[in-house]
Order: sequence, then C-alpha cells, then structure tokens
Amino acid sequence: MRITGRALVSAAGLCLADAVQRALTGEHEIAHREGWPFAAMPLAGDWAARMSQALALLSTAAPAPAGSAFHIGSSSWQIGGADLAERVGVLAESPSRFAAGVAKQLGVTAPPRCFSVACVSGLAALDAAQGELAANRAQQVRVVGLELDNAYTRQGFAALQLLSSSPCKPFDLQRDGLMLGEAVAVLDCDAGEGAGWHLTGSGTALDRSGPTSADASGEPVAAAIRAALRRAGRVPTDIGVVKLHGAGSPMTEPAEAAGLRAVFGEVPPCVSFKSLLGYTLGASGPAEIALLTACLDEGWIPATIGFEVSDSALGLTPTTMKLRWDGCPALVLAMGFGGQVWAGVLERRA
Amino acid sequence: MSRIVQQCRNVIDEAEARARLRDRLGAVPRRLGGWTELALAGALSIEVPLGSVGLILVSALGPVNETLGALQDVFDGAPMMPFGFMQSQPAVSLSVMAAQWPQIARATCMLGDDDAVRYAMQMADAWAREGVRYTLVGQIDADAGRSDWVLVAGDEN
Repeated sequence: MRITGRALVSAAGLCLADAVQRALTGEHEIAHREGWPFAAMPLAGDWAARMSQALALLSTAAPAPAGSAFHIGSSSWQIGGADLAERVGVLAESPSRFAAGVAKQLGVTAPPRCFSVACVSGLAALDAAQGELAANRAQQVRVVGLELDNAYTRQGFAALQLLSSSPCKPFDLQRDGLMLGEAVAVLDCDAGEGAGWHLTGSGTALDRSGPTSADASGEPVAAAIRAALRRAGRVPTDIGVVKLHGAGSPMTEPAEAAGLRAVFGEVPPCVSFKSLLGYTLGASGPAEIALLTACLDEGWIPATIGFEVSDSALGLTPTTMKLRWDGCPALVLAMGFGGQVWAGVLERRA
Repeated sequence: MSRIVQQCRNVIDEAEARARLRDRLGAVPRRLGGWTELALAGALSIEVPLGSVGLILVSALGPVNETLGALQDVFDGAPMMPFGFMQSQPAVSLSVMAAQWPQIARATCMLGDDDAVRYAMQMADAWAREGVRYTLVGQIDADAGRSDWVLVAGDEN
C-alpha cells in the first residue's frame, strides 16, 4: 500500500513541514491542562472551533483524492463536544455521524469506517485500508487519526495513574508516565507500485497480560514485529530505523525494549515522537507515520526529545542526536490499551 | 467472500446477561461494565473453533452508557473512577473477550450500524489472507439489549 499524501496538525505546528523542523531542531513547547503537561495544537478557541480549524488546515494541505474511501480512528470521537457544553446529549449522536461530518470537511463523501481501538485506532483504520485496497474494493483510501484535548480522556488517564507530572521522557531512567497530546493526521493511500512510501507489511499481536499492562518478556511485541517483517519480505537486518511506541511509561517500555531486542539483537537507531507530539492516542499512528516519513524524506532520523539518561535495565537507547538516514526500511511500533500491539514496515521506493 | 458458519441473535437484559456469564464461566467477571457483559454473554452462544480466530465488535454507540456515567462524574466535579473509564474503552472489552478464547489472534472494534457489520465481513476476508481463518463478528446495542453474533469463515482468495 502506497502513501500518496500526508498532512498533520499537531503540537509541533499547523503543518507537517513545521513538525519536521521542530523534530529536527528539538524546539518544542509544552502546555498544561489541569496541572498535567500537555502537547497542545497551537490553535485558539473551544473544542469545536479548534477541530474545525484543524480540519480546514488539513483539507488545504492535502486535498482529498477523487473518489476516496474514508477510514478514521479515534478514541474520544465527539466527547470533547460534551465537555464543551457540559452536557452529555452530544453522545447521543453516533460517532459515525460525527465522522461523516469530519469526512465532509476533509472533502470526502464516502461513508466513514470508524475504528475505536484506543491508541491503535488510527492504525486499525490503516490496516483496514490495506485490506480494502488489496481486495480492489477501493482505489484510494483517506485514513484519518483524530484526537483532540478533552477533560474526559485526561481525567480517565489520571484516574489510572498513567500520567506524568513532567514532560515525556521516552526510555529515560527517570521516565514516570505519559504526556497526552492532540493531533489530527491524514494519510492518503492507494495500491500503486510507484515511487513513494509504501507500507509493505504489518503485523498485530494481543498482549494478554491485562488491559493496561504489558508483558515484560516482550513476546507480543516481538510477535507483531516478526509478522510485519515476514509480510514485508524483510529480515531484521534490513531495517534502518525504528519509530518506537516510546510513551515514557515505566510499564510498557520494558516490554517494548525486550521485544525489540529479541528480534534485532542490536536494535537499529530508534526514535520516539511522543515527547514532541504528546501521546495522541487514536491519532498517534497516522500522526507519527506522517512525521517519520517526512523527516526521513529530509534525510534525517531525529533525536528523541526528552531522553537524557539511559536505563540499563531496558538495554535500549533512543537517538540522542539527529542521524543521517541511509534509506533502509523503517519499522513502526505502537501499543495500546487492551494489549493491542501493532508493527509495520515502511519503505521508500524510487 | 466470507461465509457464515454459525449465527445467533440475542436480546438479553442485564440480569440475563449476568446469569449467562455465571452459568458459562462459573462467575460474573468483575467490573466489566454492562456493554462488555452484554457482548460476552452473546458471544458465548457461539462455538468458537480452534486455530487462529479474529474478533470484530461492531456497535453504533459503543459503551455509551458507561461513557455517560463516567462523564457525569467529570461534570459533577467528582474524581473519575478508574474502572468507570476502563469500562468506556472498547479496546478493554476486546481484551476481556480475548481472555476467554486464547485462539483469538487479532481484534478490533468498529463504530457503526449494519453497514459496518457488512464491512466487518469483508475485513474477515482480508484477515483470512493473513492466516486468521475464522472471525467472530458481534453487533452490540446496549439500549436494545442486542448482542448478535456470527462466526464467519473468511475467503482467503
């Protein structure tokens, strides 16, 4: 599956080029919500106004290909609209109706396919697009990851004691939790074989250690990576860069590191974007794929913002400075509530 | 094209859902929330085959009642309860169901109506090409007490 277009509105800027610049220079700003650090999109107004601005920016940056199908992943859908009015009636509107409104603002009239699988929602949408294109049921699919700030999600994560009181520190010895963020990202995909970025294989696994925990053996993570490599026709030594899940969580990072070490032995250069973009939950997959591929197009693997001190127990150190990208395939890794693990291989073809 | 190999339609209230869980599992698993209890109670009507099995939950509103309950806490200024938030996450429901059937190899949740169910059947074909021969597809509507399930054999071709 080829990625023919991409766009991102995030805490790292109102367009993908701004996000790339910030990823490569390390410049970033952290806001706060109810005392928690938060990666906020630089947009003014209430939830609805900010949503509308973000969609308008995306629509301009990446006009929808004609006849696109529409897949969307989110974990919060229209819940921010309920926060806004301090009323709950907005939830009576189905997420698919809300998503149809988003599709319309993004220039797509096809019925939305809505995926709600917590932090891998956007990747579930991408996976479904891959299947739809492979079966020739669509010629183009617009995949959207959408997550905007809302008190419900924030307080839910706070209740689970998953948030850090300081900015995200992926794989750092001092990491102590997540920093939420917001983003809306678009990936346009087709089944073309031509030049550009291709998702050549993806794999999933279920971690059965518990709804919010992670198997420290790393087996589910390794299983997802191996499946992705197998479907891509690749071996571990082909991979030149890993986009980590890298949420700064004391719980998931041992599992992530163990899984990567099990597959790679010596892990290729690896980077996390969650200290720049925040943990954008259902949007994180498309958002981080858009940013990763755009950075690599510039020839660079960015440094991991927020990382300072290695944790010897993890046996994995993310990038501490930007590195030249050698053109080798990239591995993308993501984890989510309910034990969802997703891995994908991205390759740029000339 | 995927083929339905088992099918069951269930309209069950909360008490019956819990009775079914108690009957089949020996006890009602704790703190699932009504939406997950309904989904699981319905799915237990299906004889899930061995081998690699997929799971797709489809629902128009998802666990909306659980979300409303937790959201009301936010509006009332009360601290949100962790289990209240968890019960509003379909991904957690998927993990609860996967815990019942170790053969479930992949799982996802779609928010939508009958059209999403038809789409889920097409996804079962794509999953079959990746080695997931059977997929459980459930359509859950908590307000109507509906927990309808099919087991489909995906078409690998």
